[in-house]
Amino acid sequence: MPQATVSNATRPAEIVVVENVMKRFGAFTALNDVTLKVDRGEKIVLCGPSGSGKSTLIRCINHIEKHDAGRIIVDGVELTNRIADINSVRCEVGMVFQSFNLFPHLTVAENCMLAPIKVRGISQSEARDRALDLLRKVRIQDQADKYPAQLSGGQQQRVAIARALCMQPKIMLFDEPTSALDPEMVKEVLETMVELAKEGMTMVCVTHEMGFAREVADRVVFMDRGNIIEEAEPETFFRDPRTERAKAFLNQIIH
Amino acid sequence: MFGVLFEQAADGQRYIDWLLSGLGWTLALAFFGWWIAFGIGIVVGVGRTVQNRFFALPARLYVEIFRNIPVLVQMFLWYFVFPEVVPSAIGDAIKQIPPPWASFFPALLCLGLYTASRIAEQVRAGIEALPKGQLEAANALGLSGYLTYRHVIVPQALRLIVPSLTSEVMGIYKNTSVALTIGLMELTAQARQISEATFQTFTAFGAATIVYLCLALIAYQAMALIDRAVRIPGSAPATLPADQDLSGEVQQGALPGAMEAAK
Amino acid sequence: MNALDFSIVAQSWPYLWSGLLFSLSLTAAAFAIGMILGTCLALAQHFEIPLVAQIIRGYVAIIRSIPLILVLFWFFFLVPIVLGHLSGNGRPIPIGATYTAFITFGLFEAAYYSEIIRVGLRAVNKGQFEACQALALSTYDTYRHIVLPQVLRVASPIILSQTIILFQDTSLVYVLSLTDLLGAASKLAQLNGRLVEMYLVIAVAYLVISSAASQCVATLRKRYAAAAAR
Repeated sequence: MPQATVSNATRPAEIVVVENVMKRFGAFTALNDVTLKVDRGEKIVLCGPSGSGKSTLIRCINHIEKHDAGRIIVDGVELTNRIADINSVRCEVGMVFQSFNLFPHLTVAENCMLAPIKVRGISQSEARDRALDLLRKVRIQDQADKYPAQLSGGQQQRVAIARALCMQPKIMLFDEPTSALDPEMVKEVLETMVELAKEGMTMVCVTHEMGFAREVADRVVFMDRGNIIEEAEPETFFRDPRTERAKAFLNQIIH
Repeated sequence: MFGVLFEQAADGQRYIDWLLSGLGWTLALAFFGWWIAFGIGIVVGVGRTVQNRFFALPARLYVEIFRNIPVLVQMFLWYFVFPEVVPSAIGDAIKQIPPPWASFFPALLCLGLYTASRIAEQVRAGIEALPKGQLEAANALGLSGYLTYRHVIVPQALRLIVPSLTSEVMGIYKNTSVALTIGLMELTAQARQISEATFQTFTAFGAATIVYLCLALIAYQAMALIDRAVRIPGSAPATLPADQDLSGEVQQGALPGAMEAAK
Repeated sequence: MNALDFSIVAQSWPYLWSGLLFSLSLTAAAFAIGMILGTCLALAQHFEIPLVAQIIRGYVAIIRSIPLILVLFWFFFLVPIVLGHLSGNGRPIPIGATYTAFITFGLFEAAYYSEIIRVGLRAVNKGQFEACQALALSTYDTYRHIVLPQVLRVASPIILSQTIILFQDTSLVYVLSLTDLLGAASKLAQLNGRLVEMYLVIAVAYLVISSAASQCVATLRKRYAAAAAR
C-alpha cells in the first residue's frame, strides 16, 4: 500500500516543483523553460505531440535525464548531481516505462523484491509478502514465480507497476505505459492505474488515453515543442481548448 | 598404430604416462587460468563500460596491453623479465621455485591475464548489447551503480556472452601449449618428446591431436549445457547484435563440425 | 641485474628490423594464401559438394581445435613427406623451416578465414539471390559480383581482427627456431645476455603495431555501423 500522504503545516503542499527547467539534446531543445508544480495526491496527465518534451520532463523528475538549467525539487530535496540525493529521491518516486523494462533474468516476484531488499534494506520474507500483496492488487499473484518473458505485455506492465509500488513511493510517474501494448491489453493496465489513483496516489502520467484523463486527472497539462502551452481541468481542456495547437492535437488523437 | 605408446620409455614409465602427465599440466593450466581470467575479465569488462574515468581508463589500458602482445612474448615477460625487474629479494625468491612450478606459475599468470583481456571485451560487448531501459529501470528503483551492475547488468550480460565465451575456453586450452617454450612439459611438449624418443612422429602427434579434439568436444558440450542451464525461461536464445553475433557464430562454428568429424 | 641498458637494442637494430620484416611478410603471405584458399573452402562447403564439403569441415574443425604449435609440428613433419610423394620418388624432400612456416600459416589461416566467410555467406539476404536469378545472372557472376563482395564487406572487420591475431601468432615460429621479430630478439638476448631489454623492446613493438591496427579496425567498424544505420 502506498504510504499515507498526510500533509502537515511544516510540509509544503507541493511534492514536485519544477522551475524554469531547460534540457537540450545537442542542438535540439527538449524542454524550454518549463515550470510545473504537483501537489500531494494530485493526478496530472501530460499530453502533447511526439517530441513535445513530455517524456523528457518526467524523466527529469527522477533524474534519469539530467536537466541543464533550472531547479527540480522532489519532496523537499533538490536534484543536483549529488548521488545520495538522487538515490533518496528515486526511492520516493516510482516509474513505469513504455517498454516495461522488467529484469528478464529475475522472476516476477524477484523483480518486485530486488530494490526493497537492496535499497530499503527490508528482509527477504517481508519483501516477498509485500511483493505478493501488490501482485495480488494488480491481479497477477499467480504468476509470481514466472519470468517476464512468459507473460503477456499487459501482464508485464502490471508487474512493472507492482515493482514500482513495492518501494512504497510517494509519487508514481508513468511514461506512456500503454503505447507499447496491443489494444486488448490497454484496458487491464488502465484499470490498475485508475484503482491506484482512487487510492490517493500522486501520479504524473504521460498518456494519450483521454478516457483515463477524464476519469482521474485533476489537471491536464498540454506540451508542445518543449513548452507547457496549456493547463486545465480535463473537462475544460477537452471541451474547450484555448490554443490552436491543442485543438489540432485533440483533433488528431480523436481519430 | 598406437601400440608404441604402451612401450617402456628410458625412464621406466610408459610413453602413455608421459602423455597423461602432459595432459595433467594442460588441464591444470587451463582450469586455474580460466578462473583467474573469468574473475579479472568481468571486473575489467565492467570497468570498460562505466562513466568514471578512474575505472574506465585503467580497464582500457589493461585490455590494450594484454590483448596486443603475443602470448608467447607475454610468457617470456613473466618467465624471464618479471623476476629481474621486481626488487631483487622477490626476484631471488622467484628464482628459488623448483622446476615444474617455476614454469607453471608464470604460465598460469600469463594465460590468466591474457585471456582476461579477451573475456573483458566479451563482457563489454554483452553489457553494451543490453537495452538502455534496463539501466534506467534500475536507476529509477534507486539501485546504486554497484547494485545495478551486480544484480541487473552483469547477470544478463554473462548470459548473453556464453556462446562467445566458448571460444575463449577453447582459446585458453589451446594456448596452454605455448607454455612449452618456457619448459613446461604439457601435452604438446610430451608429444614432441615421445616423437623424438621413438621416431613414431605420426603416432605421437596423432595421439595428442585426438586428446585435444576430445578436450574441444568436452568444452563445447559443457558450454552448451551451461547455455541451456542459464537460459531465461520463456525467452529466445540470447544473441548479440550483428557483427558481434557473426564473430560469435564463427567461433562456435568449429565444433558442430568437429562432432561430425569425430563420428 | 644491473640497470637497464637499452643502447644494446640500438646497436642490434638492423637484426631486429630484419626479424620484424620476416614477421610481417609471413603475416602477409599467410593472409593472401589463407584468404584465397579460405574462400574456396567456404564456397565448397556452401555448395555442399559431396564428400569434399565433409572433408573440409573435418579439416577446419581439427585445425581450429588443436594448438597452433602442434599444427606447426605436424606440418614440419608432414610437408616434406607429402612433397616427396607428390614428386613421385617417395623420399621426403626437406624444404627448410622458412617455407614450412609459410605453408603452415597459409593452410592454418585458411581454416579460420573460411569459417568467417562461410558464416558470412549464410548471412547474405535471400532476396539478393532471388534478384540475381530474376536478372538471369549465372551462378559464377552472382557470387563473383554480388554475393562475395557483400560477404567480404560485412566480414572485413572480423577478417582484419583475425589478421591481427595472425600477426601475433607468427611469433610462434620461435619453436621452429626461425628469426622473426621474437626469434631475432631471443637470439640476440642469448648472445649478449640482455634479455630483459630485448624482450621489453619487442613487447612494445608488438603492442604498438597491434594496437595501431586494432584502432584502424575499430574505426572501420564504426564507419560501417554508421553507414548501416543510415
